[in-house]
Parts: sequence; structure tokens; C-alpha cells
Amino acid sequence: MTNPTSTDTPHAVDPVTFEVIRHKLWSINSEGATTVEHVSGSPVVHATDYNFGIYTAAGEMAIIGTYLLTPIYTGAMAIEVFLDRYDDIEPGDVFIINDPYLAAMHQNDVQFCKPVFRDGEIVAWLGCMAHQVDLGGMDPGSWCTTATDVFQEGIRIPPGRIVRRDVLNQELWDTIVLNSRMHDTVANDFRAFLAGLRVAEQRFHELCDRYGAAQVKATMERTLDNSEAELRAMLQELPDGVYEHTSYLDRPAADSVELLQVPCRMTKTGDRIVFDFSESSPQSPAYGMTTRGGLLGAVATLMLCTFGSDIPWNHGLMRPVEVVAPDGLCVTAVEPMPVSGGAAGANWTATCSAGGAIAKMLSFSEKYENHAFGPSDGSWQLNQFGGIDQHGEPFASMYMDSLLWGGPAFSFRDGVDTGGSMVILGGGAGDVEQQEMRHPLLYLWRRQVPDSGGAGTFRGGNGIQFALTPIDTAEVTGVLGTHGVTLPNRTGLFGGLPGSCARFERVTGSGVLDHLGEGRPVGALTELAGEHQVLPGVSPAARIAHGDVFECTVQNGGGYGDPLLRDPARVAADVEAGAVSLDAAARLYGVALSDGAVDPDGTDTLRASIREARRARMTAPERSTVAAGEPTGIWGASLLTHEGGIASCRHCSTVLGPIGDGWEAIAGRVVLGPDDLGSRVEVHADLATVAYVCPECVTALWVDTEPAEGKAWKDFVLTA
Amino acid sequence: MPTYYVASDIGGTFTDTVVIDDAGGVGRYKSSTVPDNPAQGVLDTLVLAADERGVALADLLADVEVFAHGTTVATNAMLEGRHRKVGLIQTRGFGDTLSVMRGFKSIGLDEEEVKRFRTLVKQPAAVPRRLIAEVTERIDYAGRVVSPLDEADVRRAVSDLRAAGAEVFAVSLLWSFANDAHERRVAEIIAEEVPGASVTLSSEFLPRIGEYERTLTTAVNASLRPVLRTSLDSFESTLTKAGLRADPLLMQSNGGLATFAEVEKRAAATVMSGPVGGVVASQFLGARSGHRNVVTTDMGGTSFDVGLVLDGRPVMSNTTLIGRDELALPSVAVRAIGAGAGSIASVRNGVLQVGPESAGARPGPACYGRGGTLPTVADADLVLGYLNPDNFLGGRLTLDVEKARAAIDEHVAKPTGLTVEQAAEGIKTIVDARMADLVRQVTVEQGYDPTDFTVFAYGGAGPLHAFSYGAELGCPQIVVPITASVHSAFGIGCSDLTMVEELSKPMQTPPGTTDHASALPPAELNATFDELAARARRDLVAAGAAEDSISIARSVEIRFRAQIHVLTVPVEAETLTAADVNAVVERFVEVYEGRFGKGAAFLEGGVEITTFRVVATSPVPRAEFDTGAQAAGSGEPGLRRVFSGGEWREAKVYRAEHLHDGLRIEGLAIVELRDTTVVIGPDQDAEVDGFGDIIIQNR
Repeated sequence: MTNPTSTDTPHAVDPVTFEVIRHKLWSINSEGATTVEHVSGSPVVHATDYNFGIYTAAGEMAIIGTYLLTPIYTGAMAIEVFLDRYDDIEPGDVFIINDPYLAAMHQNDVQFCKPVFRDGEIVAWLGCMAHQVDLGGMDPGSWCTTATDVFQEGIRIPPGRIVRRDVLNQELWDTIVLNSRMHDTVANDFRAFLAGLRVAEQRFHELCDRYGAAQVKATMERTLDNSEAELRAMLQELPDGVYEHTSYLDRPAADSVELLQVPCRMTKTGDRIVFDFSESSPQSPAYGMTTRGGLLGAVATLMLCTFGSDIPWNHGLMRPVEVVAPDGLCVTAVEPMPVSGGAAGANWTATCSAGGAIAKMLSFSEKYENHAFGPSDGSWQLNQFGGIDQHGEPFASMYMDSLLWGGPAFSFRDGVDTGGSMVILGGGAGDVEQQEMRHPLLYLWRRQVPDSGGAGTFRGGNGIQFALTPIDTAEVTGVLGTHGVTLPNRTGLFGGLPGSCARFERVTGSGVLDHLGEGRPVGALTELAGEHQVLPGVSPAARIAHGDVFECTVQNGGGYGDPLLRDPARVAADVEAGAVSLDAAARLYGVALSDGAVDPDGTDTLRASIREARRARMTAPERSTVAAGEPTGIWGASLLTHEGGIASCRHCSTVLGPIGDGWEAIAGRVVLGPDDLGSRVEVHADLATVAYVCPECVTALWVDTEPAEGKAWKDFVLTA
Repeated sequence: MPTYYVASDIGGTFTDTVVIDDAGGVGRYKSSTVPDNPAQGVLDTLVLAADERGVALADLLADVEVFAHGTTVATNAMLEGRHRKVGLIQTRGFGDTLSVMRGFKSIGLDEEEVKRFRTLVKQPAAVPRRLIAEVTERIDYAGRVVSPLDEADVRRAVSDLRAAGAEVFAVSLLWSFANDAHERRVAEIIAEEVPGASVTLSSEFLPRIGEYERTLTTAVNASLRPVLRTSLDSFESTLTKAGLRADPLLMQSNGGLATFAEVEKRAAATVMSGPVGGVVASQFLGARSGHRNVVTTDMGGTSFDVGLVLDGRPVMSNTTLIGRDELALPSVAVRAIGAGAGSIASVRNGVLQVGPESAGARPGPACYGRGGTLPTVADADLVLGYLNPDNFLGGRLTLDVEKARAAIDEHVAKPTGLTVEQAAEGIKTIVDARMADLVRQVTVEQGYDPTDFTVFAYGGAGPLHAFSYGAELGCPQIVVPITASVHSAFGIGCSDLTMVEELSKPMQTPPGTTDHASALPPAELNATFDELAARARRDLVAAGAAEDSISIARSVEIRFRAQIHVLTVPVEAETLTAADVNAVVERFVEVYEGRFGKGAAFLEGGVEITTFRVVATSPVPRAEFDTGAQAAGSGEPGLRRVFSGGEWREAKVYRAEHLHDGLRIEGLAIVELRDTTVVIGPDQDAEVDGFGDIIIQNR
């Protein structure tokens, strides 16, 4: 018996009914989500690490809200698995899955899906997912930073039915709940799922009763078709070619930091895109391996947030997309690799590399260059603290403060400071007082870090830094995990500099409370005595004792365009607001200030001297004299393109030469050192940060972090 | 000699006034708002009132016993950035609190805006960084001094802020609500350094946990105080010169009135002054006619505002959303979407959409003939025959049917292949469905079913559209109150003098607690409530309330430990015993499960009380209303063609003189009142009650 999904042709629906049903589907989805949020008592759910969606009979996303986006695609994957494995799906069934190798980012993300039947056939699916606070495994919270295989991690739930024909599968339910350290919370979340699905299903039926299932189905189909058509039309306006960008996952090893690469080679042909991650490093038993669910989520998130900027969000935005990557890579981990960190590891790196590739393509269009942005979200910095709190009770808490990174710069605006996240568009953190009331950690500061966003004509967003010291407790233990510590994942676009790196730092024996008690201010860790230590990116049991200070600094947004072209008045305003230091104003932007005001002559002199220094260090390309006609196109802020594959500098109009072999060959190359970069940018010994500049005006056209021995890829190769 | 009770709602476009005399007669007046001189719009309406009564304006004003009003002064000042420069003093290490905004960039935006990552940016911080100074000091969660206040640092900060242009000062230090010593000392130092400076302390103005909203609200308040004061001074003097003898009162966002002297200290508490009036009016009229659960729907030119009255009380929010900022001040909860008479219809990809863009008042809908060419909801209403072109806004504006048809034809009918009438009905269907969806969302989020509510419909377009969105929701009754065209003003006239006092004093019960009073000592709770109540009483007495007229309502903000969101739970007992404390926790569990579902409670983990609140009220003198007193109607209703359900049908058209107590109206029908058009759908009947309210029911 095959599943009774409908295959008849879409029913016509008039424009008014279409719009009414479309809005009602939104309303049903939000009612389902509200129900889940209300019934679940979980703080994770309240922090929006959950989602709710309406899917077509075939499992395509029809309605999606703005929750944590990284797991956005796993619902569709799950439904595909259910349809594939079960040929006896019936009304009243609710499916469950969390197997990361099949349809989840990591074990914590449990997905429930329910088919909606009308007249004996499936007309839609409803799905919801939430991050469970604990599903067992070697570490509380089930983020198992030291696991070497999947069997040390949280329980894996294969595709199955948690409810069969309206009867709860109590054995399965109990098996899962019993494997959690937090029975009640998990059971409550599961109840919330069922309540949300029930409410949404009932409303969906009411909608079908009123308008007929055929019209409801037709509306869903048409919303997808419309989005798909809009996307395809947009893709047709962009040049065919291969676009490539690479990002790295740095893993602490015994005496070194190993780099895993995650290159994305994106091929656009006509109205289709293929994202190829085949050259990614193989999987290994390190923290942060991601599965195909994480990889597809990374691509889907980007499709929504770039192309979906003006197009309604649904599966139509994924129809022209193919993701290629064989099993067994760090972005397609298979059993028995540990994957509990798969929600915040290589999938983020994939978001960075795919984001860079998309930006390179969009920037060929004057219409869409303002849609392009550099790597948007560098790394999640897991700060989970536990111990005995000030009330004498055990506590464990994930600090959400590290969500407050700076956003990427665009061609027309600066990145958002402290809260620029793309993967959680509507997220944020709690108040300091809220945290201090509950946990035995006193904040010494929580502030925006000047210069932490990459400098640029438009600068990347600055990010947060917070410092904590234990109070009313002997010590706490931190479970810390991140990447982007030894290299910037957040590269800039078109000459913008990378944002700062992630960092965990600890000072032991600082005596900070005595220091404060004496009325002496503490403005920075450097003002404290004691032993200072930068902690590894993965620190499974960092001890923070009374008198110690822990500081977390996040990874921030890359800039857009050469910083020397930033309007000096904006630099002065940033200095006044404390967003840019005087040092960076002079060193990176070449802006001279006098009493806070721009000194125009001083600025001209300074900028000229920085250019000359660049020129002196530049490895010049071989220049050939070629003639170019009128420009026919652009590439972002950097190039003008002409007939015959010739490029000129968009800044000084100098004809650079043919771009057939990669535009890099016609640009000057300057390896950037610490003096050329923001103060908190680290560059791993195997890597170099390189500026590709116009050999004539030495304006930076692109700045990338690439292998020290030179990069093997090309930013783009046009095929049209 | 007659006595008058007057209430005005000064909106962006119109000033609405109700004048109630001691015989209970309610007069309703409308005039254009004069933006630079709000008092003028009020006087214009009062001239109408005086003319109607055949008396001079000064004589009418002299007989006004109570004058209350709602104003958009603080709202506009905030939204337009017209306020004074605040110098803000904060704890060292936390001067970025306002610009960090806890990382949120989506507050106050609708989902479509949130999804557009390209343009998703934070709003500018309420205070620019150069006007913020950090001082060395630190108090911890228990109110203990971790680092003493560095006074020299404070003097330096004050001097720096003055140099940067600070005109007024706000102080918001961490944990100041737990120990206000440092803030008080900072105020003393400011007074020494800048004698006579206006200073707002967070510990005094808003002693609530949560430094972001406390700091934001304190700073906004400090910046608005001088603006509101100037405006109120001029307002009062204009009215006094014209003959008003009563001390005017002002509506607050919390749905209660306050004297000018009091409200000057709490300027930020008036930003929702106008919109909440309609909810209070619905509460008042609902109570009179036995509707305890009401969903209030106000459809105006640009937005559709929804509020709730539950069991006879307006649903309150612990915060006030104004633009993209959320202030930590309680307000009558009102949710809005961009759906109004001016919402523009457009077609993209063959998909017909209505709003959220609005034609506003200028150029306005095409039918206004003021240069608007895009089709709006009002144009659709006109084309469909619901609106009478010659009786819009009491005949002050003649509507142009041909312009409306042309706009709909070009922008909607042609691109979709529909006829003009079909397109117009489509526009109406879509906007009505969106409104119904919002009402549903608002009730469901509170844990209720919309079918348990009576819909009150008011605002310029509410009474015309309610028959459709109300029916769609399945609400048993739709009430168009006689006061519909001036409903907010009427609500302002129904309000009590109100004073809210709050204090955060977090206390938890350990996990597994069953006797909650053991961890939440009744004596401590009582002491806190008593102190707050004494303060609130003192303020109300100062505002002229008689001591024995004051009622006190106590509540706590409470949640399960580890949760973020709090619920407000009333505390009935005046002096709590251990049993009462346990009853409060039980009540919380009940409210929680009512809202979030049976079995959702989480009591084993312990509970946390964060904030204590006392609301003191004292009734303002008012007449017994006799809004109806309908004489027997006379004359036969007229007939007009209306396009409904895809065809032209005959609808009866009633006017004010046809209405009387007990009149039954069979749909399809239209009731044309001055400033209000009420529609009764084809499957509905309506009845006019003794007050003149029109109650619509599905057949």
C-alpha cells in the first residue's frame, strides 16, 4: 500500500480567496507555535530555539516563521523519511524523529510531524521541533564536547510513531523521557508539541471545511510556485558561473589547532543553483561535526535571508537548489561520528562559505548588490555554567549573551552592533540583573567592543564582551565550545576587513572583588593581577573559582568596501560613540581627528601614506594593455565589467585586464599583518589574510583569509 | 445651574469630545486637531457643544466640574525625537546597555519586516553614547555594596555630560531598586554641581528589576518631562482663559487619570493616552449591558487596534510598546496591525494584498479627491455602496465614487481580471479576514477562544466592517456602541484617578517547596505592600481624592523559576496570612494553566516573585449616563443598492431619527449616524437597545 498523497493538478483559486487562505495559514501556524510556546515551560523554547511549520502533502515547507533558522530544513527531511519508510500512514498518527544522521542537526532537536487527512488522503503535514534541554549522554545538557562517538551522546530516536491512530505510544514516550536528566521538562515539551499540532490540525480542518481542501491545497501550491517563479526570475538576471568561498573550523588538538576546511563551490546555471561542498575536510571525532540536516539548514537559511528578502518564505526558495556533498565529510557526518555539537559547528562554517559565494554572485547585479552580505554568523559560543548557586541549589545555565555578535556590513549600511544575527532574526539575551538574580556570577561588564566589527566603507557590526566573577559560591564550571578563535570566519566584502575572532579568557587569582571593594575601577582584564590565560575554543570543564574572572568576546561582522573610502564624518561619529578607537580611525580608516572633528588635510595625508605603504608591499600582477569599451556591468564596489571579459577598477576606472583566469590574476596582492587588521583578529599560522588591490589606485578590492601558500580557488569564473 | 463632565481625546487628525450633563445626556463632538495648539481643537468642539445648548462657551466652561483628556503630546515627542537632551549616568561597565538593547532588533516590527534581513536594523538608541557616562560603583543582587560610589567620578561625569550638551539628567545604576543609596547620592551631587537641574532616578521613578527597560524608561521619562510640562502649561492656560475652572486631568497608558502635577513626573506613562480610552469605554459599557468578556476593535484610518476586557477588567500589559521601544510601564494592552480605511490594495504576481501601506490622511483614499490615486479600503467601501458619498464625516467631505472606481479598476480589477465590484468586495474580504485573524491571535495568546467574547466595534471604520470580521470569528454578538465615533473620549470620561506604585523585590521558593509561605514570608510581603499602598494613597490625596474614596488593588508579578516571562496575579487579602500566600501561588498556577494549558505548570521547580504592584484608584465625579433615552423612531428607512456576496442587493438605510429602543433591523441594512456608518450583514439581525447601542447577531 502506498501513502495516499494527492497528486491531482492544482485547483484554481481566485486571487481573493487565495489571499484570505494564505493569511489564515499564517494565522494557523502562529497559533500552533503560540500553543507550543505556552505549554512548554522550557527556557530554550522561550529563547525561540523551536519552530512550527505547515508542509505540503509531499513534505515541502509551505509556511515558516522566524524562529532559530539553522534547523529550518529538517522538518522537510523528516517528512520525506516518514513518507519513504512508512506505507501505512493513517489519520491520527504523529511521527517523531531526532536521528541527526537522518533529519536533525543534533540529538537535542526533536521533531514531531502530523499528517492531515481529508477524504482519506494526506493534504498537508504539520511539524514542530524544539531543542530539548537534555536527552542524556555523557554531559548534562547533551552538548558532549569530549565525545568520540555518537554512542556517548544523547539518545537517538529513529523515525517512528509517537502516536498511532490517536493512541499514545507510551512505551516509546517513556523510553525517551527516561533517558533524559530532565524527565519533566522533556515530557512537557512533548505535550506542548502534541497540543500545538492538535490546535493547528483543528484549525486546518476548519479552513478546509469552509473553503474546501482543494482550494487550501491549491493556495499552498501556488504560494510555493510563486516564490519559486520569483526566485528563478531573479536567478535569470544573474550571470551564470562558478562562485566559491571558503571558511574554516578550527579544532583544538593536543599541542596545536587543527583546521578543517569547508569550501563552497556554487554553480549557477540559468535559473538553478548547485552548492557543492565536496572538498570539505573528512569527518573526524572532534566536536562540531555536522550532518546533512545541518548542511541543508545552512543553505536553506541563506536562501531565505538573501533571496527571500522580498520573496515570501517557503519551499519554493529551495526548489531550484541542489546541495552536493558525499557522506562522511565534516558537513555530512555519518555514524559513528559524534554530532551533538552539530548544531553549532561545521554547519555554521558552511553558512559562512555559502554566504560568501552567494554574495559574490549577487554583486554582479546593480539591482541586487544591496542584497549581498558577507558571512553573517561566525560561531555560536557555548557558555554553559554549572555549580552551586547563591541559594545553595545546583544550577546549570547556558548564557545567551554570546548571541550578541555584530552583523555583516552591506553595500549601503553598517552591520548591526551587538545583535546582528541572521540565524535568529528575532532573538536576544536577558538582562544582567535577571542573570545575577539566578546565578552566582557577578558581571564586571557587558559592553560593545570598539573596532570588533571589520573596518570598511561600511563597517561590520561590533559585538559583545562580558566578564563574570563568582559571587556567593566557591567555584563554577564552564562548558565552553566555539570556533573562529584562531581565524576570522567573518570575512568582509569588496575590501572590507574581517571582524574580530572569538575568545574565551580567564584570569585566576585576580582578587577582583577586593579590588572593587576598595573602590578601584576595573575596565579591562589587563588591569587585574593573577594568571591570565586564553582558553582553548573547546574547554569542556573550565574551572572558575572565587576570585577568578572569565571573559567571553564574540566573533563579529566583516566590513564592506575599503575602509579608506569611508566617509570621514562617519568615522568621527563612530569615534564619538566609542564604536571605533582613535587608533583604528587613523590606522585602518586613515582619518585624522582634531578635538573629535575631522581634519580634512590630515586625513588626505594619512590616507595617501597608507596607500603608498600598500603599494610598496604589493605583489603586482602582470599588466597587459587591453582596450575596453563602455562598462557593461559591475562586481560589487570593486570592478566594472566590459565586453570580452575585461575588468576595470570601479574606483579609478583603470582597465585591469581579462578576468577569464580568475580576477585575482589581474589584482595586486598585499599580505596583511597585524597592523593592517583590527586589534582582535587572529590569523592561524597555516593561513594568511590577503588584500587583493587595484594595482593602479591600490584600493582594496577584496580581503580574504586563505591558505598561507596561496588559494586554489577562484572567487568566480563566469561561464556566460 | 447645569454641571458638565467633559472628556476629550486629542488624536492625530481629530479631536473628539463628549459632554455629559447632570441629567445624563451625552453630547458628542468632533473637530480637527490643531497640532501646534491641542487646546484649540478642544475649544472648537466645546463651541459646538455650547451652540447646541444655546449658551456661551465661557458659560459652559464655567459649569464644567471635571475635564479629562487624552493627548498624543508625549507620543509624538517620542516618535519624532522632539525631546530634551538627557545626560544618563550608569554603572561602570554597563554604559552600552541602551545601545545593546539586549541584542534585539525586531521589537515592534511585523513578521515581514523581521524577515527582510537586508533592512533589519535596530532603532537608534534612546540616548546617544556621548550623553552617557559611567561611574565607579556596584551593588549586587542582594543590595550589598560591592564597590563604593566614587564621588569624584560622579562630579567628573556630570561635568562631562554638561559639556556634551545634557539639559536634564537620568540616573540608572544596577540593582538600584534593591539599594538606592548610590542613586540618591548621585542626585545630591548633581544638585550641587548643577543647581536646579531636573533629575530622574530609576530607583524613584521605576524601581523594577531589568536594567534595560528600567534605564530606557527612566531616560525617556526624563527627556519627555519638560516637553509635556510646557505643553500642559499652555493647554491649561488656554482653557483657563476661556473660562475653565476645574483642574484638568490627563489619561495615562494604564487606563486611569492623573492630575497634571502628578503626570509631569511620569510623562512616559502617557504615551498611550488616547488609544486605551476605547478599551475603558468598552469595559464601562460592557459592564452596564452585562458583557464581561469583550474584545475591543478600533478600526481607524491606518491601523486596527485590538484590546481585551476579561471578566470585567481590561487586560493589562506590564509594558508599553511605543514605536519600536518597549517601556517598563503598565498599560492597557492594545495590539495593532496596519489595516484601516486608508490601507492600500495592490496586486503582485496575481496576488491581491491589502496594506500594511496606508494612504494616510494626505493624500488619503482616492475617493477623498485630495490627489490620492491608489485604491484603499475606504474606496472599496464606497464602491460597494456601504458608504454614503454625501454623508461622510457628517457631510463635511463629499466622496468621489468615480475616482474610487477608477483607482480600483486600474490597480486591482484589471491586473486580476475581476470586475470593479468584485475587486472592491475582494479588498474588503481580505482586510476583514486579516482583522479577524488578529483578533483571534490576541484572544488565543491569552488562552481564550474568541467565541467567548462580545465584539465592540468603534473608530471611523469599525462599525462598517465589524459585521464581517465579527461573524467570521464566530463571536455571538457585535456591539456598535452609541459612542462609537467618540469612543476613546467617552472612555477617558469613564476613568478613575489612578496611581500605580511598584517595587521589585525578587524572592524565590526552593525546588520542591509545598508550603510557599515558608519561603515567601507573609510579614515581608505585607510590609512591602503597605509601603507601596501608603505611597499611592498619599499621591492620590495630593491629587484631590478623598481618603475614603480610594480603593487599593494589590498584585505580584510571578513566574516559575527558570522562566523569563512573568504573569501578574492579583492579591486579594489586605493583610496576608501564610494561607493567603499559598493561595496566591495556587492562583498563579490556575492563571498559568488557564493561559498555557492544563498540566503546563511547573511547581516542583519553585516559584519566583519579582515585583510587587499597588494600583490605587479613586472615582472621578460623573453623572449617571443616559446615553440612549431614545424617543420613538419616526419615518420609514430608505433603500440603497449594496454589492454583497457577488451581486447588487437592496439594503435598508436607517438614520438616527429612525432608531428607538427595541427596534429590530433585518440585514442587509445600513445605519447612518453622524460620523458613523453601521452595517448589518445579510445573514444578521440587529437590535437597538435602550442606550442606543446597536447589537448585531448572526441569524
